[in-house]
Amino acid sequence: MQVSQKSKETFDACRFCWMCHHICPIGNATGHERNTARARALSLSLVERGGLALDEEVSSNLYECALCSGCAHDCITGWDPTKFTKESRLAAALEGVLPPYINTLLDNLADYGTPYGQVEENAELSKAIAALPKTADVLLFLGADARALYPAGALNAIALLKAAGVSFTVLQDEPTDAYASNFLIGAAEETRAAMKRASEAFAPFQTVVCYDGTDAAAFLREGKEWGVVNAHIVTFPAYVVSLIKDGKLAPKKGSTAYTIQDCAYIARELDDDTSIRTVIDAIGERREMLVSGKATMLGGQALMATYMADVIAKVGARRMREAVIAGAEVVVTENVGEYLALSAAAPQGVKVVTLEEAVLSCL
Amino acid sequence: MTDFLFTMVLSELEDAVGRENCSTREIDKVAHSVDYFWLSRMWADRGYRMPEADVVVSPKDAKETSAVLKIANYYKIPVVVWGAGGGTQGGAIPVAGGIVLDTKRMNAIHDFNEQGMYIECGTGAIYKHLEWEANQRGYATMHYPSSLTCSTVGGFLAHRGIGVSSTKYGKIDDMVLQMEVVLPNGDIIYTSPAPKHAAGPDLNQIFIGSEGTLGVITKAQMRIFEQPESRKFRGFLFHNMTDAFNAGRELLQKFKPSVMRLYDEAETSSLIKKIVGVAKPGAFMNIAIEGVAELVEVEEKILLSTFAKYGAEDLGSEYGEKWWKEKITFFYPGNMMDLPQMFGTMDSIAPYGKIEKIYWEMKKAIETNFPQAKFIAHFSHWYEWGAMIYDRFIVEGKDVPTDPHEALRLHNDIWNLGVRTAIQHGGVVNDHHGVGIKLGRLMKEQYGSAMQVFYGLKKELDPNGIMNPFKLGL
Ligand SMILES: Cc1cc2nc3c(=O)[nH]c(=O)nc-3n(C[C@H](O)[C@H](O)[C@H](O)COP(=O)(O)OP(=O)(O)OC[C@H]3O[C@@H](n4cnc5c(N)ncnc54)[C@H](O)[C@@H]3O)c2cc1C
Ligand code: SF4
Ligand code: SF4
Repeated sequence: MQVSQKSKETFDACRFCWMCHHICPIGNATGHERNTARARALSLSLVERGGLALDEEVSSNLYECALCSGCAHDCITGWDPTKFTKESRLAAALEGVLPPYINTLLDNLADYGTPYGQVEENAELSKAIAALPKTADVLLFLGADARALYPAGALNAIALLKAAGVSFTVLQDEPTDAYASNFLIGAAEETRAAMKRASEAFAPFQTVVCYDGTDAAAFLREGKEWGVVNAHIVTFPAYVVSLIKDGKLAPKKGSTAYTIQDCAYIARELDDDTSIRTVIDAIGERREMLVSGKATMLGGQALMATYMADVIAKVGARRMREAVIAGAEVVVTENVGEYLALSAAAPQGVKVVTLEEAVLSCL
Repeated sequence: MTDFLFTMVLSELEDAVGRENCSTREIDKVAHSVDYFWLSRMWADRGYRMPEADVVVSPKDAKETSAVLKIANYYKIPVVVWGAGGGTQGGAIPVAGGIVLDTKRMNAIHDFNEQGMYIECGTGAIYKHLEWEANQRGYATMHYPSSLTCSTVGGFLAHRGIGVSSTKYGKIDDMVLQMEVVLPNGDIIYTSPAPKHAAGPDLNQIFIGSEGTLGVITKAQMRIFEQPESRKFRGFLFHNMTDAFNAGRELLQKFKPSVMRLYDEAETSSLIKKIVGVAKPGAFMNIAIEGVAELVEVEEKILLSTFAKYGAEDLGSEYGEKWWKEKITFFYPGNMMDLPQMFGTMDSIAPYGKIEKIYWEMKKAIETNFPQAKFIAHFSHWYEWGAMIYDRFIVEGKDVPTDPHEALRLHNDIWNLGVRTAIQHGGVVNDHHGVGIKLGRLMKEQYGSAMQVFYGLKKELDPNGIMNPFKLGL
């Protein structure tokens, strides 16, 4: 199997370790033993030792990981299972043993530039984008999830930046495949090429604001690490904080209590669990779940919902239960996948909103 | 079994639990073949496959569990219950193939009962999730094993597990009220609604510790406690272990600390030095006192005066607090013993007057007969009448045979000698890790003709012997 020495060392460390068994949002939702860092590591260590073949079964289990880094964050001795999972996904792709549903997503990426295939864009969103200036200092990068799955969120994001008087635009033809490619096949040539395309598209802009935390994490982490993405990229919550600080947005602080669902990718991978809190503190009361901030538990995942919808629904339901115990009335999210899964699981009396929706309601 | 019959059985199981919860996939079989047992890890490390299930099922409740057991009983197929596989004794390994019944879909919290001070949950819940549930509402489970995040409620019950605060709050068998159990014939039964009664023998205690050999525990009411107003730590260094035992025994006649842990000189100068930072020679003991602040103040005074009588050096609160913070750090890869080393924890328990002798005898037996093995120990669970010994042997990789079969023999020889020495000097075969496949053979040596009570239960409840064969010496 073509994986790095570091990955081999990591799966050899994880294969007999149970310490992060409790933290995996997927394992917690399915109850399946295979959905643990340790079981995944055990299977890969056996592949490495010739005791198991790297086949569709082993590789499908690699795709049952959300790469949320919950396990890595919890690991006191610093092992990171997401690394070997991503590298093994690429190894499985190179060996031609990917599950068919992953091949479909990859085909979609190749054919349409998004994993969701040919989706007709929401007319209102198309209109709103078309009405924006063609050139501006700031690029709002909406991402595939918002454009295909939650155009209302994209419209709200546009509305918020307009309300702040920001000179910005949105690309009609966004290079939306980098995050998905990175999630599906890691550091493959295709991913690097997608990152490069994104980087070229970002070049004319001073600042790129990533609406969705998943895209932001891919650009800011891998994109930078590989030296492919040089643009000044900020997450949407961090940008909203700067707009409030600069006085461009002046939300009125109300009495609504917001329970925060941290985006794992922003909180852990980009090390930022403060932006969303700064915004919430400016608009209302903050309510925390017991497991939150950098230790957050995933509440949904848009890409995975295409091939394991029932599991992602359970992930959302479990997280929503925690929010309810924490007294949630309004849950505020930072990415589309979590917004969708949590909204679907919300009981009567609990509302789920995206960050921009929350801020817009206070202007 | 023929392919045709197997497929027939499989379709029945799928009918019982749903197709998506019934798997013959290799990835699921592999995931359920290696637990925390050193031999299973060594086997996999050498690239060998451990015995695997023919099918893995994940029922959602007692009803589905019952359906699975009825099918298994009819076709006489072995059923091995798997919680999280964090057991150290090979208890969850399907050594005879058959069905692995994974309980983790039964992980719902059914009731948070503040009046009765318990959480009713499916036994597939990871214990840490119970702790979160309690913490979210201002309570705590007070069951803090090092495997809090690794293992299920059912696993702890089935193994008679224990946590670090056991001296005050009890062992898992003290922490459970009522249980729902599915018998091997598929009947769903409930133990008495309260754990203390005079309505015959205690049904709970028949199933607790039965390691999946007498049925499947599917639901349990686990106790919760108020968060302590105050928790104070105090570290001590004793000149020798005899003084420490005498001091600990005397203290327990006066009040119960939550944490009591005594480390022998070898462990003090290795693990404790590395993780907690105690650099002096001697036997380190860590005590935690907790509860109502006023009482804690008084107890602390009693602790200091009692231990002073035995010449203990008071190290203050710093080391104890560090230990509390780092108590699970010991168990992460990098800090913990790992392959290629061979190691095992031969925990035993005995009354004062015997326990220290057991320590010295085990140490002598292991170190003389297996000079390649290092022996270290601590004493982590204390009662008014006695204490447990958590002793480990460690053989460095260079001394572990490369042939896995030979490694297995050496492993079992060390275990046989260690546990036999404990039994011979008045100890019990195991304190809180259970028996599993690892120590089954030694159960007969422990209990002699008393084994007929266990055989009788097994024969009556599981006449076809389908439940977890070859475990617990049954
Ligand atoms: C890092 C680490 C540290 C540990 N520290 C401690 C500690 O401090 N204290 C302690 O007590 N233990 C400790 N252990 C051991 C382990 O946590 C316990 O043995 C635990 O009880 C195993 O639970 P499990 O859910 O992982 O069970 P498994 O390993 O899946 O199963 C254990 C046994 O219980 C049976 N079983 C499981 N669920 C049920 C059920 N619902 N009904 C009937 N039978 C069932 C199985 O058939 C098997 O025989 C540690 C383990 C690890 C990995
Ligand atoms: S990430 Fe850390 S805690 Fe999780 S399995 Fe690996 S070594 Fe263990
Ligand atoms: S990265 Fe997230 S989903 Fe994947 S194993 Fe770790 S905790 Fe589970």
